[in-house]
Amino acid sequence: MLGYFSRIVARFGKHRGLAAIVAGVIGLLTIDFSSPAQALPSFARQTGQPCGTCHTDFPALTPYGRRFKLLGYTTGGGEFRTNPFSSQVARDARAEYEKMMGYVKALPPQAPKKVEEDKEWVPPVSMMAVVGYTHTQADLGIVTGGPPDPYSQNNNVVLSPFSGFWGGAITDNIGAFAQVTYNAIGPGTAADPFDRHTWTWDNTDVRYANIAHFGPLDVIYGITANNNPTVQDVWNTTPAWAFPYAVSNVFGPQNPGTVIEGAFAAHVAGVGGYAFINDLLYLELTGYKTLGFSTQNSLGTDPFGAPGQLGGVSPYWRVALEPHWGRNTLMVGAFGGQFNVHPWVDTSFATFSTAVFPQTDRFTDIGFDTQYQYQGDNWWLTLRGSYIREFQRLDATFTNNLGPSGLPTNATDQLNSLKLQASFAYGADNRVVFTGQYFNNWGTADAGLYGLDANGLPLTPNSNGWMAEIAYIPFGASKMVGWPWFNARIGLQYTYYNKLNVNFANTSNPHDNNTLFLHAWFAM
Amino acid sequence: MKKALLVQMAVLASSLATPVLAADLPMKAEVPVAPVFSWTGCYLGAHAGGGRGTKDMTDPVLLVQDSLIAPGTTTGVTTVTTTPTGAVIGGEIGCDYQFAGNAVIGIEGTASGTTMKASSLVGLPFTGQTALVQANNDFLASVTGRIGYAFNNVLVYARGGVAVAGDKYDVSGGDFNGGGPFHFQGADNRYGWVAGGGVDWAFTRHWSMNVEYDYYGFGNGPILMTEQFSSANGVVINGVVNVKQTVQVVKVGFNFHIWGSGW
Repeated sequence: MLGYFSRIVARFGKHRGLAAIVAGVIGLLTIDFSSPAQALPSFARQTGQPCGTCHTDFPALTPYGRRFKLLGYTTGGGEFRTNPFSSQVARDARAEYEKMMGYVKALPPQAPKKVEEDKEWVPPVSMMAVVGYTHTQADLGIVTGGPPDPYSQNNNVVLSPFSGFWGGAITDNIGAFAQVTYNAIGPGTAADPFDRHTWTWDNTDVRYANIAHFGPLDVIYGITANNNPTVQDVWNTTPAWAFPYAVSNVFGPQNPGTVIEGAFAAHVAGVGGYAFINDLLYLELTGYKTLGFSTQNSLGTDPFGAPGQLGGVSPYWRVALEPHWGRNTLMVGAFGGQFNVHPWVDTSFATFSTAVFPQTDRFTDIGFDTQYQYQGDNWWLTLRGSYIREFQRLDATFTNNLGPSGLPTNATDQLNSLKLQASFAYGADNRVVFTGQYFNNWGTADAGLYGLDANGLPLTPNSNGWMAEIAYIPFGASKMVGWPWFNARIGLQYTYYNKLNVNFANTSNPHDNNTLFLHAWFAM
Repeated sequence: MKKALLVQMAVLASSLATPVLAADLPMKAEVPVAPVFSWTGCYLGAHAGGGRGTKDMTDPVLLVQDSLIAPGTTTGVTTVTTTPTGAVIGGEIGCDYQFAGNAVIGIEGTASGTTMKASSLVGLPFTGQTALVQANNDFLASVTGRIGYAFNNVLVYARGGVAVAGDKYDVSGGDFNGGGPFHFQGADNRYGWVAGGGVDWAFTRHWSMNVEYDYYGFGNGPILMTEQFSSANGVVINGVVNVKQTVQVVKVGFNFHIWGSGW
C-alpha cells in the first residue's frame, strides 16, 4: 500500500507536496469512498456484500444495486442484524424474492449465515469525505477579482464535501439513504445572508418497499419520500446521480441548466409511488412541494439558492424498460416534470422580504435516457446517454423584468441538455475506472437571461465540452481488510470546455476554465 | 465439409426411415403447428417518417405594425398559413395485453424530434414592406392508448391520447419605418390530442415493424412574441399572435418486444 502511494507522489512532480499530503491522508484513513451518495460501508455491513456487487464504480449502480435500492435499502444477508426489528422469517421471504430475480447467482459463495435474531445490530451510519485539488488553466481567482481566504488564485486543496449518512434498513420494509453534508464556503462574496451555510441536509430518500404478485405480474412496489427530483432514480442517467460523481467546488463556470438538474435539490420535499413490474418495467409518479423559507434555512439550505418557490404540487414522472439477457442489461426510459415557480421578489434580502411574485415561470422538462451495461468476467462496460428538453414559459420573469442582465427577457425560451458517456471499469480489487463524457447545453438566445455579445445581440446558454476521468478503487470485489467498514476512491478528472457563455465562464476564453481535479474520496 | 454433409444426411435418412410395424394403421401425418404469436408484453423501438403541419397565424401584420408604430395602426385581420414539412425521427415505449379473443389493448409513449419548418411572406400595408413569417416544429410527444385486433403476428390497431408539440415562431424583416430591422420571436409547448392507426407485423418472435398514420390537433392559442433587437437595448416590445395548428405524420417503426419476465 505504501509503495503505491509513493509512486503516486513521485509522479506529481512540482505538486509532489500536495500529492504527499493526499497520499498521507489516504494511508492514515485506509479508506473507501463514495460520491455524494451511495456505496456506503453501512450498506456493505447490512448486505454482507462487497461494494462491487452493487457498484461498477460508486455511486454508479449494477443491476443488483438497482434492485437493492428499489427494495428500499432493506436487503440483508450480512453478519449484522438488518434492523432492530428484523426477523428471520422476513429475511427469508426477501431472500426468496432475490433468488427469483436471479441476481444473487452472481454473488460469491458465502459462509453459512447466522439466524437473523442471533446477529448483532449496528446502526447503519456512515461518513464520507472528499479531498480535492483543483487546477484551472487560467488563474481564475485573479480573473474574477480574487477569491477570499483561504483560497488561492489557483491550485487549491479543499476538503469538501464531508458527509454523514444513514444508509440502510429501518424496518424490514422501510429503509433510508439520508445525507448531511458539510460544504466549504465558495469563493466570492455571499449572494445573500443565507448563502453561508456550511452544514446542510443533502440527498435524502426514505422509502417503503414490498413485493406482490398479481397473476403473471411480479411487482416490487414502494413509496419514496425524498428531497430532490431524480434522487430516487436507480439509473445513473438522471441528474441527481449522473457523472461526474465528484466535482470541484472552488471555481468553474456556472452554466445555466434545466430545472430538473438540481435547481430544487434540498429545497423541496416529495412523496411518490413506484412499481417495478416483472423485473422489466419501472413506473413512478412523485409530487413535490417547496419547503417553507424558515424550514429550508433551518435545514442549512439557502432558500434564495432556488429560482423561487413552487406553486402547488409539481409532478415528476418516470418510465423505463430494463430488458436483460445474459450479461447484458439495457435500459430505455423517459422522465420529466413540470415546475411552476414563483420567483423571489428580493433575492439579496436587502428589504428583508421573503415574498415571491404572484406570477409564475413554468418549466416543463422532458428527458430521455438510455443505458447499456455489460458485465465481463473482471470488468464492466457501461454506455449512457441522456437528453433533457426544457420549455420555459417565463410569465413572471418577463412581466417583472427579472433577467439577471437587467435587460428584458423573452416570454418563452427553450433549453436543452445532452450527455453521452462511456465507462469501463476493469478489475475486481484494485479496480481502475475510465470514464469519458461529452456534454452539450444549448437553447434560445435571450438578452435578459444570458446577456449580450460584443455586437449587442442576445447571447445563448450554449456550452459544450468533454470530461475524462480515471479512478482507482482499491476495494471493489473481495472483502479486504477493514471490510465492511471502509472504502475509498481516488480520481483524476479533467474537464475541457469547448464553448461557454462569456457571462458564466469567468473569462472570454472558455479554455481558461479547463479544470484538473484530483480527488480522494473516503467512506467509512 | 462434403464428408460432414454426407454424415448429416445419413443421420437424417436413418431418422426418417423408421420401421413400419404390421400393427400400425395408416395414420394422417402429424402436422406441426406453428406457435401462435402473442402481443402480450412490452416493447421499445424507434421510428422515422415524415410530417406535415398547418399553422394559421393571426395576425402577424398587426403584431409588427401596432407594436412598432402605434396600436390601431392596422385595419383588418390577416391570417398567414404556413405548412411546415420535414422528417420525424424518434422512439417509443409501450406495453400490450392480448385477450383470448385476439383483442389487444395497450399503452404507448412516443417522442420525436422533427425538422418541420416553413416560411411565408406577408405584406405590411403601412409601409409597403414585407415580413417573413417562419414557423417550425421541433418536437412531438404523445401518450396514447391503443386497441387492436391480432391476426396472429399481424396487429391492426388504432391509437389515441394526449400530445404535446414544441413550436417556434419568428416574424422578421428589414428596416421598418426607419427604425431598423425587427425580429419578433416566440415559442410554445402546445398540448393537444392525437389519433391514428396502423399495422404492426411481428416478423420474428422479438421484432416487429409497423406503418402508422397519426393526426395531431393542437387547437388555437396565443403566442407572446418578443422583439429581440429592442430587448437588447433594454426596451420591451411585444405582441400576441394566435396560432391554430394541426400536424399529420406517417412513419415506419421497428420495435423490440420483451416478453414479461425474461425472454
